[in-house]
Amino acid sequence: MTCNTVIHVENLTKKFGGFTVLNNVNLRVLDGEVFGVLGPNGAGKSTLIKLILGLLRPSSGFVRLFGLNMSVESERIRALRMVGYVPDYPFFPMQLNAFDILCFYGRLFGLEGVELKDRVFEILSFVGLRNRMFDKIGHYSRGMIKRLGLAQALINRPRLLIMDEPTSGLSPEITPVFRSYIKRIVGNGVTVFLSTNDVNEAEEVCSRVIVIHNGRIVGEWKSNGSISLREFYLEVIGIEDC
Amino acid sequence: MRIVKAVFLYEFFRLLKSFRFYFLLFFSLFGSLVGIHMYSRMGSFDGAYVLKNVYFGFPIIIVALSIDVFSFEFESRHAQLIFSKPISRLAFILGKIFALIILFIFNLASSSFLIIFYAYLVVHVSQDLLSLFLSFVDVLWASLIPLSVTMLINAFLLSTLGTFILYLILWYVLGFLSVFIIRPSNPLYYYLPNVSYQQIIWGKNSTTILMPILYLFLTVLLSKYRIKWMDVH
Repeated sequence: MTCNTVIHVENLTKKFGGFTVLNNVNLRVLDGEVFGVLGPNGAGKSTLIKLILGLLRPSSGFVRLFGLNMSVESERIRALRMVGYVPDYPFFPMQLNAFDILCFYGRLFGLEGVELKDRVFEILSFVGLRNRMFDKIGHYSRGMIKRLGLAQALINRPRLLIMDEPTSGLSPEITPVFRSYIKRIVGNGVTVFLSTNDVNEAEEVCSRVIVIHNGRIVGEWKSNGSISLREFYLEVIGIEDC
Repeated sequence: MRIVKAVFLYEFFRLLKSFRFYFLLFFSLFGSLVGIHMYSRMGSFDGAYVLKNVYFGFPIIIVALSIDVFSFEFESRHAQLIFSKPISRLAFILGKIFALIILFIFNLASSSFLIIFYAYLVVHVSQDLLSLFLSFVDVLWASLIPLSVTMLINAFLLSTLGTFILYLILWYVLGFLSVFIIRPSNPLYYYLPNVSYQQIIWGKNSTTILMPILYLFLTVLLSKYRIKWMDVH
């Protein structure tokens, strides 16, 4: 394994009962890369992300983040200090506010006192929630909850940002705003692992994309290739499945 | 310790900002008022006795606090976010337990102050503050048993409604039935959660005094393994 490999997945399989959701997946994501996982709904993208984060236990195979084995509790905790995760549908306790929730996540990374407050204000300004930070989350719109989902992932200045369909469920006028946040993060040299079912988004943001279908990797696309991602996707998935 | 503190503050404010906490506070204060009214009509007013009776009669006050202690995160999918952070399962459990205990102390203290104020200001009876404080400690100590039992059920079921139903069955049906099957001469009798709860509150048997520690220890240990070996969806 090369020293700049951030994510190393080998022979990863996940079964729920008798149903195989991911089948023998292998991949490597390098430091500073913007890596995409593209596939239709139910392809296994979210399951792959949860396995990478150690939220699910693999049926076979292994995951290493920054060279640390995610199946070992102490190594998993060390690796997660450098990771931010944006889920597809973030959920927060509705009676709390954005400030409370970010303080909680900040404390989990050892931030305290003035340093914690400064970081929370900085992140809330970045995602445009600073003037609503003391409102109950229950009063937030879908887009605001998504932005808070992004904010909590950035609280620790992660080296690796894992995003699961970050723009899904957003209205068309909010999607470009959200995508601009992603591009600003990418510009800061953070390694990004982005899962999406939007071909345009993957092509616009990612330098390398794997296409996943029925739990298997069916192809890999690079941004410097001659073929567009849309054409590549149609070729490997097939028009009917698209 | 840093993580335990973070989880403690999170859980404390989550419950403190919920409607349920104030409903329970109202319920326990109302229970105390009813108790006070009943005992003051009997002629002799003993605040310590009132406090014990209120919480003995309503262990559901304790249980309602802890009914969704773990299931809230798993049912709402907030667990995905929490466990994607560098947090150990043990710290998560301990932070939650401490928050519940502190909030219960607040609840119990409110009832105690109500009793003291009533005694001095309404019925003009001086109270033995030491005996009231000892009752407070007895109730708090005994309450760790239903608190632990609910947390343990919740850790295994990860369902709020399921925990409520199973708790009611275990505590009120099986608990009382087992008292008829296991007689006091049997050493196992004092391990029954509702028996030890009753014995500690009324100070009848010293063998039960360590039961809250035993139940709390088992809860932490089993919940840790349950949460450690499960998938977070």
